[in-house]
Amino acid sequence: MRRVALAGLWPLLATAGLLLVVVGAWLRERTAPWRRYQDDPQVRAVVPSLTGQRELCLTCHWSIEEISPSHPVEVVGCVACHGGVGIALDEDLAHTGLIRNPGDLSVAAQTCGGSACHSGAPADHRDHLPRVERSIQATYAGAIAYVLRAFGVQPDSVARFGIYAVQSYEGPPDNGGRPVVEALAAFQPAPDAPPLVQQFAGNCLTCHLSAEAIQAPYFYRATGCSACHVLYDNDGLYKGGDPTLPRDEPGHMRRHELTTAIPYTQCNHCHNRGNYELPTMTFVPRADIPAPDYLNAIERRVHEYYQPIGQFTLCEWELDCVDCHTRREVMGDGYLYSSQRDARYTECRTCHGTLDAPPLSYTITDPDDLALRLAFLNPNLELQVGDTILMTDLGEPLPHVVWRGDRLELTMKATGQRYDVPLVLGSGCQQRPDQQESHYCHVCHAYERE
Amino acid sequence: MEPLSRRKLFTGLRKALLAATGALAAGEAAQMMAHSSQPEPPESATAGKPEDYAAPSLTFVRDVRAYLVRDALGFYALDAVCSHLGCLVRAVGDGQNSPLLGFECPCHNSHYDAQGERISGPAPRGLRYLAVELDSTGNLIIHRDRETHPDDRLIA
Repeated sequence: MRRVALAGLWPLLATAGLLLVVVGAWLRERTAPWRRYQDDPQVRAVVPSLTGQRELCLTCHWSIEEISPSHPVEVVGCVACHGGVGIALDEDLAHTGLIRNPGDLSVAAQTCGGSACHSGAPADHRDHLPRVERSIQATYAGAIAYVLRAFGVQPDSVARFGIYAVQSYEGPPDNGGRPVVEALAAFQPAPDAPPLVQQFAGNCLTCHLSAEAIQAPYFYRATGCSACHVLYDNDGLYKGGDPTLPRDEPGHMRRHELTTAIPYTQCNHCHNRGNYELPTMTFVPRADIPAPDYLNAIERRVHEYYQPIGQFTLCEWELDCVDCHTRREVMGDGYLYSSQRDARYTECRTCHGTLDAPPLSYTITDPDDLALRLAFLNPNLELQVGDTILMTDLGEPLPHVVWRGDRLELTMKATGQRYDVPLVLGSGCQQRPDQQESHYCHVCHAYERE
Repeated sequence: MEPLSRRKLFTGLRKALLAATGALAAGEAAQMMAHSSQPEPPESATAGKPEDYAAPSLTFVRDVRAYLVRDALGFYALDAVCSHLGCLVRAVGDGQNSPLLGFECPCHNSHYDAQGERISGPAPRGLRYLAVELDSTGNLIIHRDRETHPDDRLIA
């Protein structure tokens, strides 16, 4: 009789067990970690048109900034750049294979360069990635060559080594006869190399696009493409809207945004932050930053911008680095160079002209002109067909320096502030016509930081 | 009143537990199904009656991501999805108060003329012409999945 009663209980117990399982699953779902990031928790999905694959990343990162107007989330999504498992809501699973910095050169071929977006043909100006990979900011070839020469390992300053092995490629436009090298081998000092060269290899290969930043105020930055195009504040704190990112943990970008409006402070996360001490081959950070409080804004800028050894003209400390240094200089032009000097495209005369002639310019007639594309990507620039803009000796456009009637107007890329550019032609300048390089201009026009 | 037998009690309890389990699971499934999502554009969508549109006029029909144009000859539809990466292009001019000058993509600055032909930018080709029909109730239907000739018009 008792056995019969128990047999009747089994279906009830099984149903109760099923209910327990469902209640357990329900409770787990109700208390899922992703719910803590939203006041009104809901799963948020996008199906980016580029991939057509559903992504749930915005469920947690729902109020993160759109990375840029050219990369809207409904078109690019998150996974195309950041990898991971887009349909997962569990943090660990969703972040399996996550690429925290898609701009790092170790992954950029799959992210920024994927689908030929930024690794296309030079003729289309889409070869950003191959150019950057060969730029001296990435290869560090110049510094390596100078050190090897200084310690007698090689007879001249011609680059033979880089941070990684790399060869030139077909297709970069004319570089005006600037000296180039065909290939670089990966720098690895021989066992019998001088001890200081060994120490250089061990201590000093930290200033290039693949090197992780020093985790300290003023040094915070990303690597690769993001080293320039993702802005970091000096305190390294995130100030955007992503609820998953801590606000009090240094080492994060200012906001989740890409930009071509790059202020000098971004360049200074690498440049002018200290010196390498030759006797010990170690990096010594500057001890004079932040600037003293008694300095005014422009004095602070000069102080933090430059180290106290150089001479700089007014425009070199009023403008931002990117207002003078062109994309071919900074991102590379596809050729391998031995030094920054060899890769230089701009001089004072590029904007100010010479005693004999105004600066080189051309009028935009083609709606596909590169200058229009560059201006479109910068929120501070306005340019249209019919505008006359400056260009370098090799025809690289300067879309931010435009003739407005008889005025030559420069718009700062990072701030939108406008300046009239003074011309040498017709001025009281007494410079010899055969001495037009920038270092001659500095003799009269320099401001010296003390 | 007939006393409740043990079998009936267990059966009733079991049914109640099953109902609770089903309701809980169904509620959760419904919530999952109803989550906020960017919908895929449907293959076709209705766009109201022909008399709702002035001639000339240009109207963005969000459901199918297309511009419905009414000109002197009739109706046609232009795909609003840029042929470069898939951003939605913006019309320059509304075709009514101001002439339709063309379309521009806010992502990479591709430009198209008023007929959808590519003018400049990274877009590899012009905008697609989508078929427009009337359904049995007299409503306009725009078909994303059916491309048509630029000269085709729906006369309604």
